[in-house]
Amino acid sequence: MSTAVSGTTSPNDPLLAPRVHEVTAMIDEIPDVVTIRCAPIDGPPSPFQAGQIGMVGAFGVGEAAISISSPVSEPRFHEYTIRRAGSITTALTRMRPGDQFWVRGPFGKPWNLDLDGRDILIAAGGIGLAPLRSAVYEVLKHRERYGDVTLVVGARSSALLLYSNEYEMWREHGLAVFDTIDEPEPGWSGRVGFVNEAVAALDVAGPATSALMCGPDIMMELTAQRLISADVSPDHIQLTLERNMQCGNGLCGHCQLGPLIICRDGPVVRYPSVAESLMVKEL
Amino acid sequence: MTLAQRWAGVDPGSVSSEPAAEWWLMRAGDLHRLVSLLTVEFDEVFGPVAVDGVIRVRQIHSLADLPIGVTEEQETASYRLHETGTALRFSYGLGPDSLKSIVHPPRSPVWTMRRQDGSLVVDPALHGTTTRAVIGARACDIRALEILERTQTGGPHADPAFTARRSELFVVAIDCTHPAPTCFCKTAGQGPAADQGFDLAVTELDDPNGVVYLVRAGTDRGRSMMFALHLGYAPPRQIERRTRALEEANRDFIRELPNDASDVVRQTDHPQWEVVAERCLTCGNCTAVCPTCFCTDMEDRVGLDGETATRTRVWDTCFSQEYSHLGPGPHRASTAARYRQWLSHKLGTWHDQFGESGCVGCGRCITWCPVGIDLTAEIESLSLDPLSRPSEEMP
Repeated sequence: MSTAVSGTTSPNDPLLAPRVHEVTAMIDEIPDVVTIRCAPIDGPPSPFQAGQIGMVGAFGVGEAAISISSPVSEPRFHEYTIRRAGSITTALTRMRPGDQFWVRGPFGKPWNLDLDGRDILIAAGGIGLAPLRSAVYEVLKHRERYGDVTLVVGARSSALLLYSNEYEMWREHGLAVFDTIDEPEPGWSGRVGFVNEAVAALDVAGPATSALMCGPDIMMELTAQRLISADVSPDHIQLTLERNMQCGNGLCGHCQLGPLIICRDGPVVRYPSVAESLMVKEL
Repeated sequence: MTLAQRWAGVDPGSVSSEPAAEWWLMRAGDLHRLVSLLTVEFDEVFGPVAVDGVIRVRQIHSLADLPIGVTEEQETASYRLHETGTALRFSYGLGPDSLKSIVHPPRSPVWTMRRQDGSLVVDPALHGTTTRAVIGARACDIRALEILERTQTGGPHADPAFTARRSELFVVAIDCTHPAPTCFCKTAGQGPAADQGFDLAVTELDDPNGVVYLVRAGTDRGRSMMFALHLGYAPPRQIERRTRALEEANRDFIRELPNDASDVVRQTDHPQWEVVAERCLTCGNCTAVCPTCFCTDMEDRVGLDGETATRTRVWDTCFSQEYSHLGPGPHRASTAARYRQWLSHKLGTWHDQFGESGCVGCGRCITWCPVGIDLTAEIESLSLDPLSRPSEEMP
């Protein structure tokens, strides 16, 4: 039956107690996408693991679940990369340095980066690179632990390649970056095609490879199929999912995907746990 | 020191699956004394109250608040109260409210946030030490309370508001001797008699010498209350009458939940989803009256002065488009997808998420659906092989 606990809430309960943060910088990324660099006003940023989400809230407007995109090892601030879509993200992306907002969390299951000795393939579509960026930095920090580490990032056009000013630095630190755009465009001499096509062009060492993915459901589905046909174990494909999240603690029901409650069982999940669900429209 | 303070430290004890050895006998006057004691010992006491032609769960202050001599008729999309002229106080089936409205209320404050000296300040809502008791809980609703509890306290962070309301709730169960035709607890859950999860459980029996109430205790604090009332034990004859009354109540359930319901509802491509979507209004009545539907939304409202904002946790429904809203729009735009989400979660994926079914067979969703959708009939339709169904065009 019930477990008796104190009748009063702890002020530290993450469900209730947001930490007020202050914007230290607003960084324009690609059109309609802004990175908020921020720190709590009451102490150092909360520790987190790559892939975890914060419930990021604008005063009187509401919250959105946003992945923390900054390096795990960065002690001074967190970064949230946000696309302007509805009223909440519009309010958040309009903030200026010095403005305050709140964050609850971090919540959810992170990327599993205990992949010593394995090749890592990171596949990102569009703004899907944001939840992967902290993993990129974590992998590069411990680069010697892994075999080949490759990033395939795709966008509709070159102007929509997220964090593109960081690719060169990532390459210098041992990440093979393959960027690709959907349609040819003047002045672009790089790859053209979808992420799954760019992945298909790689020489993936199947059984030794672990994949991390984020992007539109269809991109992840096609990329996963491509990887599996290259002998990557489905269990070694991790992906992160976006659904409507209200509580971040598995209490409110909104972010269900079939058997999963994404904020509790994810956002990072292994491909086999969602392979069937992703095939069902409107599940 | 009030008794409530005294009991606050008493270990509720393990809940026995066997009824306690003692059976006490109460008459109407004793029931009056029990309710009075509850109102003295607990800050808030809830019970059945007839309002607006419906039996609701409301705060009560004396036995006089409870309905007397009324019963109800209910069927798909229909609920009517009738006077019976008897002195019975519990001879009716379930109304729309369950224990959910007590432990997981429709609106629950989360915090107030204000601007002060150029900074945001958060005042979390504190969940005080209000003690609560409820009289009239049915077995199905006690079972539903356990299911609801698992959803709200079983994860990485238990909801403190739920915990505060649930952990000390004193439950007086009423054995269900008048299940409604919409009920199917026999195949879905627990009932019609409560066999666990209560502090006290009461069976109401009509008797030539006036109505009698047989009481048993499920916890030490329930037992203490019986001793405090100085009640006599029930004669074996009355206990036999109770057994017969419950056997009678347990006999004729028209509806049932088949054993394979959790598989049947997982057929995501079954054409029946489109069929039921033609009738479903997506009003959310079923989720509001369901004793285990727990979904909530966070409502943020800013004051007119722009200086304060309040956050409230409010009931939500998977039947709304907003429920699954994501950047580009609702993820479950169609009625079929939303009805499928509700039923396949309730009976199917609830097992994956919480290790049990989310349905206790109370039948409320059948009674309160304005277009009379009956989930047991839907399961039956989903059980049919879509390819073997006769065409509607055939003579």
